[in-house]
Amino acid sequence: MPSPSRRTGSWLALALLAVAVAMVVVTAPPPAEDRAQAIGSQVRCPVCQGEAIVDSPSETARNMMDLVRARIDEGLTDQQIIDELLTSYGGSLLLNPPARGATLWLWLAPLVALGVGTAMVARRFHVAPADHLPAAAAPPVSGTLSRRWIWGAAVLVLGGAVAVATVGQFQQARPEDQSLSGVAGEDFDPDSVSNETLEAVVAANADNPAINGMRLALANRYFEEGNYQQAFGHYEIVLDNQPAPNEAANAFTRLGWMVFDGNGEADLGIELIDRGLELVPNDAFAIYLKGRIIWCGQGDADTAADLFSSVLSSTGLDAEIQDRVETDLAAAAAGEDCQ
Amino acid sequence: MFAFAGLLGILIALGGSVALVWHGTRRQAEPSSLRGAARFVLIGGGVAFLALEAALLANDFTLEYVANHHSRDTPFPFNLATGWAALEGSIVLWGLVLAVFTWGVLRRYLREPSRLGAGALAVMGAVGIFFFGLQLTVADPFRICVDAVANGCVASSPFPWAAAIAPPNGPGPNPLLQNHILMAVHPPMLYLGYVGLTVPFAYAISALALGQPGTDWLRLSRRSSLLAWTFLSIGIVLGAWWAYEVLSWGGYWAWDPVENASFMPWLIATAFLHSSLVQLRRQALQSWNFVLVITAFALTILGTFLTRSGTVASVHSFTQSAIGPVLLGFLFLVLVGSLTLFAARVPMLEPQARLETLVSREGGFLLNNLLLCVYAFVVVAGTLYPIVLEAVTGARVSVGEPFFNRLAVPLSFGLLLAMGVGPLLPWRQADPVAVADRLRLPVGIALLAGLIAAVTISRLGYVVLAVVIGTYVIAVAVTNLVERSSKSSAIRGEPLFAGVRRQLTSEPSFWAGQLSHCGVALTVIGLALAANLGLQTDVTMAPGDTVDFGGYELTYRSPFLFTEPNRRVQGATIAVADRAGNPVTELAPRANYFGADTSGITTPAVHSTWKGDLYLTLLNIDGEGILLRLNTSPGIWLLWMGGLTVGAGGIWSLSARRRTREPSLVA
Repeated sequence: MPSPSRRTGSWLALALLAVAVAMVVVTAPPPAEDRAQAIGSQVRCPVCQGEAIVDSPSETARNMMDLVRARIDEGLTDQQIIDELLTSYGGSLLLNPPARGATLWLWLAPLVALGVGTAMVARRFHVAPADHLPAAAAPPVSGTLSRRWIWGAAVLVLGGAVAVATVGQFQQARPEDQSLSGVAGEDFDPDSVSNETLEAVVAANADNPAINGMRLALANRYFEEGNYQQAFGHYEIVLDNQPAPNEAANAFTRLGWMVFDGNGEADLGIELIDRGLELVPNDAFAIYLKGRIIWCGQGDADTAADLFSSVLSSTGLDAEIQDRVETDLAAAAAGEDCQ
Repeated sequence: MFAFAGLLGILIALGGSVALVWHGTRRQAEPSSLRGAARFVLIGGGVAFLALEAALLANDFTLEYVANHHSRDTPFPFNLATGWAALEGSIVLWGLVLAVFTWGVLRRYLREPSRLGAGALAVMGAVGIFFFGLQLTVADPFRICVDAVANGCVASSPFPWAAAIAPPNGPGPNPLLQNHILMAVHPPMLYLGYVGLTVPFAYAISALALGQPGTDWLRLSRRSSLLAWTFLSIGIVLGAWWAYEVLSWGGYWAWDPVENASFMPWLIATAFLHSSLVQLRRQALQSWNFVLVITAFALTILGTFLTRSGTVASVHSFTQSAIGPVLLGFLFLVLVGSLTLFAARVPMLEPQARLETLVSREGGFLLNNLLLCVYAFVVVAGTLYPIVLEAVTGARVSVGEPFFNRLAVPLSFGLLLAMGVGPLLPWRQADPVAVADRLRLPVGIALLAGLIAAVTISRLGYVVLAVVIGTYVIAVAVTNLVERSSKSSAIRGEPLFAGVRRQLTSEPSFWAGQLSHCGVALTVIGLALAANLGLQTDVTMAPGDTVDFGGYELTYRSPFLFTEPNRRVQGATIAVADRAGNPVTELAPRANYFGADTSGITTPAVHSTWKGDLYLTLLNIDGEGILLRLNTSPGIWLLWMGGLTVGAGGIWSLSARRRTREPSLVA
């Protein structure tokens, strides 16, 4: 047994050493914060098995990481970037489930387990009632002492756990109005994102054939807006990337209309639409556009009227299209020029 | 022919299992009949396994299993490994391992016949009925191929006499599994661990059923528990190593459901090894030990269900098969059956010896059990939550690394702290002042190591903390050894070295445990270094280009392409030089194309030094150049070393136990 003064001295020296270590750590320059890395470790790669996009060598994951870096350069916040990834690739990709909603229990359960476990341990040290054990077996002093120890430790452990969880919560606090969470359900809906977002996602995945559907949606949107310049390029890429027949037909039809509407090339336009119709015969929209070209570009009102009426005979027509076709049919049947 | 032999083997093993149950549950068990039954199980399991291996080596494509998982071009060691690389074969190996462990239980029984041992054999037989039954039904490896295409079997018959139509060749095993030789070693290790946990379970059920809840069942099963735990530890490390060498993401642990499946029983088995000591020494925690053993066994079945049923997507899950629901049913049966039995026996278990204070060896063990069980709970919850949530509400969530790390890191540090105090505490009651005195030196060493690490390696908080706590655990073990040895050598007047040897040989189990503690500490330090200090970047290089990375100069020399019997290999030669330009080595990251597979399996190239690894992954290669991912993994060897040291502790304890033949555990 060392003397009390030596003992105090040695513990003092250890405390000093501990302070020194702590100082070295605390005064360390903050590590170069790699935001891309941090974001990338939160998001699961959609085509892999549980790997984060920062780890996965797959092409999709690398494209997503490129998107993350591009967005960081643009000055977006971490949360905005993560939300964009979740919107584009599906909400269930968040590897760190938020502590609310459906995944709240996942965070609470370990704390509950710790509490229950601590209580169970504490029970082990209860002094048994006197009628169970001879009095000498457990001196009352040591009993109370140990109980105090246990409850102290329990409070410490639980408090620490709560603190860790709380700090973690603050770190990932997010505005409440953001609807996105780790909970899926929100499948990708092109209508809800801006052209720019969609463009970025498509650009980030330029080589990925699976992105064709998204690219087509983007092109169709440009097409609706009359932005033929933009739409044209995307349709061409869609056709280069082994599209599904319906995707190809969609692209051919609209390309056909654009070469007519934009450049006045009626013959080429009809040829393109016909290629689309080979893939998906009786597509009402394609037949309607073909009729428009025949009527407006070639001046053949009769053929156009036949086509328009065949469109009207098909079922499930969009109300707006139906109105337009009916108007055009009336005009064409009357032999009027197109407008 | 192989099908006949194999099926005969399964039938013999099944018959032996039934006989075990029959004889083991009789009031007056006959050792000779039990021996006969166990022998049948062993022979049957061995014949089935050998028949499958022989069919693979003989290229017998009339078997559906061979036709669909084997290829003439697969090299020899992978041919052997194909025997357990797919669902049916893995169950055959499971059966064989179970038969071997049953034989072990029998030998123990013959040495010391008891109703407890006979009952345990009956439980082993019951588990055997299930696994050999699987091989006759939903996981039959000896089905005959009755309709084949060029590269596999499309229809099969369970009858060995069916007219066989064999394909000329098969597709070979899963490309990921024939990419590295560790694959041949890691699954059998894990199986030895998984199946080994059946033995303590069997003894526990036998003890409960017979109403003998004393310490006998713990004493009789302790060796098997230790053996199972050792194999499980080694299997887990080898699995991480395999992932690192093959999966080309520079990682070793992703909290993938399949990795978790092996980790959950390990945590509970670790808790059991500690808490059973409390019962052996203090007659406390009786019921707790039953709960742990039942949980550990149930978790091995749950793990098998997760990996084999295709519930989670992973390299370990095979084609959808009916085995999922069957395993789930068995799990349900095990849980309901054993817990009901346990509940019925609870009155027999009370009252228990109470423990005096937390500041004692048993208090340390309780803290360890609390942390390990919460740890296991976190892993189970995180693994099952997405599956259950999707099944119940249809909502899909991912639970991954960030979730597990946030909870696992503090739990691991807590465990290390417990490891650093527990071994110094005496049983019953410790004097806090005396313990504090013994802590001064290790604390000083640990803080010094932390200071050195902060100055020389990194000032990152997690790294320094891991070094401090890890070194602390090791220092506690070493100073404890030196202190005790010097005391005994001073009394005897012999040199310290002789005292150390005396100390190590007189209490081998304790020191083996300390060695395992040191292994865990090394693992944590390695994890902290590799996870926090690793660098990663992707570079595009044309031939002749040079990049600076992680203290190396990397030059892309040239692409290469060659063909081996079972694969095409495409890769790039990268010259590695140090900063000064002196050549260090040449690395060849590559993509392997097996059979008709066109996507390719990227295989990283690793240059290992004691400071850490340089890890290159070929992401893309074309006429113009390559896209290369560069990683460094500082100190990662500590991770492998640590893991193997954990296992070495188990092996040491086992071998010492054998030499001394059940030492004074109950004394």
